[in-house]
Amino acid sequence: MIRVPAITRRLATAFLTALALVWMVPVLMMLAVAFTPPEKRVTGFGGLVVEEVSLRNFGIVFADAPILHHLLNSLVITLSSVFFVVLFGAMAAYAFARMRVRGKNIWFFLLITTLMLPVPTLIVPLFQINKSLGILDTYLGLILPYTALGLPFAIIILRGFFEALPRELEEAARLDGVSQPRIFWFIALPLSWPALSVVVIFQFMTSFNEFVLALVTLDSDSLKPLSLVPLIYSGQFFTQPGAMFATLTLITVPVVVFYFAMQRFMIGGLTTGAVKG
Amino acid sequence: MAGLALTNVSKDYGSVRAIDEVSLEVRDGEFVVFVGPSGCGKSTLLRMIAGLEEITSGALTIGGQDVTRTDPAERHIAMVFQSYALYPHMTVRGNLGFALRMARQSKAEVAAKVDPVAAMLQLDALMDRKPSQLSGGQRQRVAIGRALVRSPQVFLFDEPLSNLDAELRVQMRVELAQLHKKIGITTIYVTHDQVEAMTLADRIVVLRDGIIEQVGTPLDLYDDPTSLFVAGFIGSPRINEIRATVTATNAEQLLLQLPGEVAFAYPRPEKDLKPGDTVTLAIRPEHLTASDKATPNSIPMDVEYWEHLGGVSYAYGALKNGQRMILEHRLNRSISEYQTLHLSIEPSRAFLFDAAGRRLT
Ligand SMILES: Nc1ncnc2c1ncn2[C@@H]1O[C@H](COP(=O)(O)OP(=O)(O)OP(=O)(O)O)[C@@H](O)[C@H]1O
Ligand SMILES: [Mg+2]
Repeated sequence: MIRVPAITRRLATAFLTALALVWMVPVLMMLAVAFTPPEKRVTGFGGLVVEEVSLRNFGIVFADAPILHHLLNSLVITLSSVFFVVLFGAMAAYAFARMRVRGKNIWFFLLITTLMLPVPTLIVPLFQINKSLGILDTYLGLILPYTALGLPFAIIILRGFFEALPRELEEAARLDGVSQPRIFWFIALPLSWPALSVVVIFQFMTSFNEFVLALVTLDSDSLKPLSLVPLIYSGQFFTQPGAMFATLTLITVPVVVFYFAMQRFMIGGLTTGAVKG
Repeated sequence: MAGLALTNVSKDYGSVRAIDEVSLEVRDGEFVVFVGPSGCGKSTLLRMIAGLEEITSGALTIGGQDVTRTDPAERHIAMVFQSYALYPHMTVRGNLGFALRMARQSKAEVAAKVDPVAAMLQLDALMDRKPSQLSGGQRQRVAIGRALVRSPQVFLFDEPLSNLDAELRVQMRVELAQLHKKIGITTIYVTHDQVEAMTLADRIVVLRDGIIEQVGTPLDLYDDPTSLFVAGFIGSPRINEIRATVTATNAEQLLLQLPGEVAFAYPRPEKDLKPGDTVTLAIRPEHLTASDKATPNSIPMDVEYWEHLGGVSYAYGALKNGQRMILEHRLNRSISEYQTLHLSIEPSRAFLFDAAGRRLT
C-alpha cells in the first residue's frame, strides 16, 4: 500500500466524483425521458428534471416490440461465444503456458498482433468469410467471429495466470499418475477461476454490446440481438422519444445486472493476475 | 517396496552440468538422506529419480527394472514437496484420495485406503477442511498422507520440514522417523539441515557441485570424513580447521607448525609430505581440552564470548592467525574468566587434510 496524504486523497475523491457526475448526465437524461409520461413532450432542464414518473413508455415498448425475443437472441449469441472463448482460450493458453509447442513464441506474437487491428477494418473481410461459409443471417455468423475476436485477449490473460500457478501442484498430480488433459481439467482450470471470470465478463460485455458486425451480418429482424433494437424501431418510435429511451434503458439492464453480479470476481481476478505476475 | 540404483547418472542444463556421473545404490527399506550446500544438486537428483527431470545420461533402476525413460506415473514413486503442493481447491479428503479417484477406483475403495492413513496421521478430524484452513504441521501431514495412500515403492522428500518452526520441525522429525520404522518404505530425503540428516538417515549422501562427496552412515561420516568438506558439513557446532605448515618429517612422525608458533607432532601419513607443505588439521569442538595455562604443544586462543547452555558451554574465539575456533566445554566453568585459553589437541582425535581438502590419515 502506498501512503497518500489525506489532502491529496480528498482532492482526488472530489475530482473523481465530479467526473463521475458529468459521466452520468447522458444516463440520467435517458432515464428521465424514459420515465416521463409519453404525452408530456418536454421535460424540464434539458430532460434532467422529471415532474411525473410513469412506466407507460415501457408499456408501449413491450406492446410494440418483442424485446424479450431480442434479449433471447442476444443471450444465445453472447453465451455461445463466451462458452467457446473460455473452452478454446483455456486450452490454448494452457498449451502456451505448459506444453512444448513448435513455434510457440511466433504463434503468440501473431495472437498479440491481432489485438492491434481495429475491429472496423475487419468488418468487410468477416462479411466475405461469412458469405462464403454460408452463415450470413444466422447466429453462427456472429458467434464464430465473436469467438475469434475474443480469443487473443482470453489466451493472453489465461496464459499469464497458468504460468503463475505453482508448477509443483501439477508435478504432484503427474506423480499421482494423472494425465496431462486431466491435470488441466482437475487442477489448472479450477484454480484459475479469477482469470476465467475476467475473460467471461469481458467476452460477455463485448459480445453483448457489439453493433456493427451484427448490423451487416443479420437481415432478419427475428434474429437480431438487443443492441440492434433501437435501430430497428427508430422509425416506429421516431415520434415517441419516451419509448425510444425506454428501449435504451431496457437494453442496458442486462449488462448492468451482469456487471454487478460479477464485479466481485472481476476486481479479484484482475488484481490476482497482477500480483502473481 | 523396492530398492533403487543410479548408475553414472548425469544431468545437463544446456552447458551446465548439474549432476555429474552419480552412482548410488539404495537398499529396499533404507532411509537415505541427501545433504549438501545450496545449489549442489540435491533437488535435481531427487527430481530425476521421480521422473520430473529427464536423465541426460546414465541409468536408473527401481526394484530391478530400468525406469530411466519411464513416465513418472509408472515409477510408483510418491514425493512430498517443500511447498507441500496440496491442491488448494480440494478438502483434505479430496487431496488424500485424488490419485485413487483419478485411477477410477470406487468410492468404497478410496475410503478404504484413505481412512486408515488419515487415522494414522491424526487427520480424521480435519477431513473436510481446505489446505488454507490448516496449520503448517497439519499440511505437512496431509502431504505425507497423500503420498502414503498410493502405497508407493519409493518415498521422496524435498526439504519437507524447512517451512516449519523449530519446535514443530523437531516433532515432525520424530514422527517421520517413527513412520518409517512402522511402514519401512524405501525413502530418499533431501535436507540441508545436518541434524535432520544425522537423526533420520540410515545412510547419508553428501553432495557437492553435482558429485557425491561421500556416502556412509551418520557416524561413519562423523568419525571418518574423507574430505574437509564433509568434516565441515557434518557435526554441529562446526569442526575447527587449523592451518598448519609441515616443518620436518621422519619415519613415524610429521612435525607441524601451528598458529602461535606451536610445534605439534602428528603420526606420519602415507602420502609424502615435504617441509613447507600446507595442511589443515581439523578437530571437533568437543575434542579440544582447554586450560588457563600453557602446556607443551597447546595452542593459544583469544576468547571472544561464551555461550552457557547449562550442561555444556561453548567458547567462541580466534587463533593467532585469525582462524575461528569453537570450544565445547563441560564442568569447571571458572575458566570462562580467562581472556586466553590454551587448547590441547589429542593427535588421534584430529584429522589431517592436504591443501586440496583430501584426508591424509
Ligand atoms: N531448470 C534449470 N535450468 C538451469 N539450471 C538449473 C535448473 N534447475 C537447477 N539448475 C541448476 O542446477 C544446480 C542444482 O540445483 P538444485 O535445485 O538441484 O540445488 P539444491 O541442491 O536443491 O539447492 P537448494 O538447497 O538451494 O534447494 C544449481 O546450480 C542450479 O542453478
Ligand atoms: Mg532444492
